[in-house]
Amino acid sequence: MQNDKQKVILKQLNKYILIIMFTVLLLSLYTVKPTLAKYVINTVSYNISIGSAMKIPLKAVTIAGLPQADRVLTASLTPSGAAASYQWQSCAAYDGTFTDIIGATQSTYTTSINDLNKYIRVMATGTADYTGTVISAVTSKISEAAFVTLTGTDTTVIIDSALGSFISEDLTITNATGNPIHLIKVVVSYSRGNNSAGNLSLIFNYLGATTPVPPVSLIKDGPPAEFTIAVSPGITDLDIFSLNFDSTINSSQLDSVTIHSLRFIVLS
Amino acid sequence: MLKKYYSYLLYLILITFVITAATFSGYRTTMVSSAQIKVAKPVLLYTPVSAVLNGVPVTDITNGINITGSVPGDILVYQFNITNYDGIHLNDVTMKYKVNVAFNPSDAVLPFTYTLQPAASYSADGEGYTYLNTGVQLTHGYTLTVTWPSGDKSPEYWVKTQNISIQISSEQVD
Repeated sequence: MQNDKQKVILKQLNKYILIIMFTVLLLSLYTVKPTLAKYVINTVSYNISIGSAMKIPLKAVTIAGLPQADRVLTASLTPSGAAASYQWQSCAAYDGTFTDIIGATQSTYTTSINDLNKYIRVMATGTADYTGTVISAVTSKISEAAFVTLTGTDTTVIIDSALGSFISEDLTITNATGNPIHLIKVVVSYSRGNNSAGNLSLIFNYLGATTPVPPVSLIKDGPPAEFTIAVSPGITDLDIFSLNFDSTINSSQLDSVTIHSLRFIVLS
Repeated sequence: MLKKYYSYLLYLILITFVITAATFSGYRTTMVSSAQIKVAKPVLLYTPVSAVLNGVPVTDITNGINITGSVPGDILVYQFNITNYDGIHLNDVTMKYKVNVAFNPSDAVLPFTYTLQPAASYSADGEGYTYLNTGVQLTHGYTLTVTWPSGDKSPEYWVKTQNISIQISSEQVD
């Protein structure tokens, strides 16, 4: 009885073993088939490592604008939109020692007659998220802007009054439309109707002058004298200008003062 | 009954040995004496070609590219080839490969974007694999362009390192 029971158990066990064997066999064949059938090359890996900077360095600063007096020069940074402080510098020599232009610390700088015949550059130092200092290339030598000569004829004024006489004129600058005046150059000469000795000293007054005009000495019947008046940019009309004679001159000796021409330096 | 059981067990062991042997024996060959045996050889070679950062060539790219001091606006253009010959051997079996660009860590620490452009239109299986045939020398060129957008200037990107790996996995075509 006991033996029959064992046989039954073994028979059942045999069935399970057969099932397990075929299952294992099938699984094995299924698993290894791809491996047997194909070459597989292991993955090739190539690494690119990119480390960022602590802050963004300034790469360059350039200057845009004409190298002329009374022009606006503009500094442009790379990368664009970078934050920086600026210091404009000038030097009389292209490769000399540049010195800071006092107060020129913005991204733009308006040149003046003080910059004539000088070279300009700008230095930018990164701020906020930007770091480093870059210096621009040096501009060409700062020159005067082109002259435009006013239309009109010479003006001759007869002096016949007492000391300190003055001439008053009203000049409209017709050919300077849209071009802001930078400098006025006045060309005058002095002549006399009698033969009395003595030269003439003139003071040119103009309300729009930004700096006083030094006295101008005129030699009797000599060549025309030329003097320059700096004026605020944008003026297109000379309402009133005057010539004041030096009070030491006896006006009774004067016959006439001729204003040969007025020439205006404009930014074209 | 036990005898039958042992027979099955023996059968199982034999089958296991056969399968195991077949598995481990793949692609091995033994040359005996001076006999010559030609075995099909797969060749799929990855070759760095050039790398240019903001227009300036990057030197020494043989074993990878290492760039420091990267800033917003940087553009890295990297070219590489996949060929079916290695200068000596020509590929004997048709292969297919897949190029994958992966960031490590996967959550990018730097705001790079990238494009991967093949130099031409290559035959593909529609599942991301590209075929590399046999018979003649073939070169598949690719250009990977990695860009740091110039507007992404957040301080959180300072002093970080981003690894970008190019992975080429390949296998024989059935």
